[in-house]
Amino acid sequence: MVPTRERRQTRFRFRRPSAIPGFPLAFGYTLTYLGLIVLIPLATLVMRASTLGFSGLWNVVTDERVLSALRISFGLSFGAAFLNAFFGLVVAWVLVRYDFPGRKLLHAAVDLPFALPTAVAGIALAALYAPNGWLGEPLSHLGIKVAYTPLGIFIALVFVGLPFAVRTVEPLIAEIDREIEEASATLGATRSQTLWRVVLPPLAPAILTGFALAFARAVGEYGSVIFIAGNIPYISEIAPILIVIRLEEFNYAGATGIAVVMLAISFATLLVINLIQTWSRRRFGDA
Amino acid sequence: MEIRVEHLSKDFAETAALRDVSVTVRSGELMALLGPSGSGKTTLLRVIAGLEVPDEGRVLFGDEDATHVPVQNRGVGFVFQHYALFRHMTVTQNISYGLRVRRRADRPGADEIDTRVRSLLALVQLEGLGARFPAQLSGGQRQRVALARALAVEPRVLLLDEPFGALDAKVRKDLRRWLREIHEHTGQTTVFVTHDQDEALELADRVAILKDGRIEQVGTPEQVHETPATPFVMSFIGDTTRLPVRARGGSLWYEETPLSLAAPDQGDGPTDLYLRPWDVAFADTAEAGTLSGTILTIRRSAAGRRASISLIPSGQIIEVELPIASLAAVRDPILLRILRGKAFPASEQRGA
Repeated sequence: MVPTRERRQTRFRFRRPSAIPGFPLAFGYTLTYLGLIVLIPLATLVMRASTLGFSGLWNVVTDERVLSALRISFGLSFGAAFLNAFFGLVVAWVLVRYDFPGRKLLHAAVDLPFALPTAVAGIALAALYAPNGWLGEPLSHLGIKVAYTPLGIFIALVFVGLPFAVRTVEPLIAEIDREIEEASATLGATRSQTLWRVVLPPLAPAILTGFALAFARAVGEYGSVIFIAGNIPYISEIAPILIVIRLEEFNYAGATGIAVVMLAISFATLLVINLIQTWSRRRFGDA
Repeated sequence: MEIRVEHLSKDFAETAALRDVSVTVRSGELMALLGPSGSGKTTLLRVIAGLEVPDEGRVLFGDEDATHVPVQNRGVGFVFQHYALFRHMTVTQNISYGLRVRRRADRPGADEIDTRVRSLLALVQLEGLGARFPAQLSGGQRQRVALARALAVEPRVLLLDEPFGALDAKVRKDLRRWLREIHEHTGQTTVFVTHDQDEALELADRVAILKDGRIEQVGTPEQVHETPATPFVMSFIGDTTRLPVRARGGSLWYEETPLSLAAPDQGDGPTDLYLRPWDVAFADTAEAGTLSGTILTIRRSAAGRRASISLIPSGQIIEVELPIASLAAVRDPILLRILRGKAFPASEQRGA
């Protein structure tokens, strides 16, 4: 049997002494804060939706217009996050590894989509890609229509997600030891072997984090999308807009129904991404 | 594999520069590149490896001019000071990496890779740790993995950049002896960089001493210690005191005291006499050639006791190893006789 004293010590291990004083106060504050800011609103949402009952919720979700809005929202968000994960890596790599005139400026510019009020971004994108806009007009001659199509939504979502993808991988790229690449080269590996086997694998968790953040941001994006999307039901209507429309119709139950489904899908996605990360981190042996 | 480096120069390197460096590493030899930081020893090693391209000069592996052979094809094993292990790979994967990246035609089969990894793990005494990740190993173990990884590709030469620099003193000593054993076992031509003269003298067959991108002396540990070519080598290898003396007619004078040292090759004029702490003995009675002084401090080291002595009347300070039985104490007046020393013409850059 384990002596009582030792058992007590293990039980209270989480109360390790630290620089921040007053564990009870800090812990209580953490709980209250998280509860007020995150948990209670989410619970309210679920409670609201529960007034629908299961069959009511089912009806809301299986509505053709809702389904297509969810498909557009999550599908395009996934695609945009995927594209951002790739190009974010490239942008971060260039910003860290190369020194060129204007590097600092470019470095700051990466944060702009993040800092800009989303409505401003939306207006800019809509003006740019409108059929008579700077880019919209030449593109329309090529037969590519951007505004009021899913493509327009996609562009807006890529725009708002980029900073997340860049900023999460950047510190890790900066940390890569040049000697690792040199070691790989002395062992006879080609540059592409070095890239795929030595440089990229340790970056995978960060790339995934960037993907998850860009995805989460894109799913909830509203302001930058509405102007360029045109919000045509079944074609370019995203789920957050549909929620607003339902609210304007005073259909609160319908709105919360969509919201709960979005919450569930987002939660499941983040869970899966976290699981993948835990797995890959364990594989790297520093979990 | 003999390595010859001829008239190598490199400027504007990220590391230190090299100026007209020529040196030959004999086949099967263990050579140390020794020098203070900024002397260019690591740059020289990286040029040999192909990680840096020289501005001028050639690197020959045997008769082959390897100067422009890319690092991938040069057949060198390189061990980095901070190990540079692939942290997302296990020890086994790290060691087999060099074999697994080979083209299909040159790649050994899975069984053969397995056998080779196992024998390398045995060589570096890490049996049973093949499934660990680098983060789960101690510093000394990581450095041994790095060595096994470098040896796995059967390199023509093995190059080590301050291999023990990041380890603590005890582990360093063990690994030093162990590297010597491995070298005797494999007979691999090996060059290693160090700033630690003990390490260089203890480990190497020959030592090349660098300063400011130039080679000062190449020789066996015995040669560089006993017959240093320059004042810098003298003062870098072991502790020294520099005593400003004067050569007159083949003998040396410290101020008005004739020292009982012959310096027949020394031209008349100001001369620097370099002394090891054990080149000076205590004298009982004042006679011709003795110097007098006062003990300033006595320090204990692992090897013995060291006294700093201020000479009278000049105030010049010299370091002297105290005899084991000596009862001398701080502030005692003392008589000294200089037994040996190495004279060089007085230079402007004193002390070096």
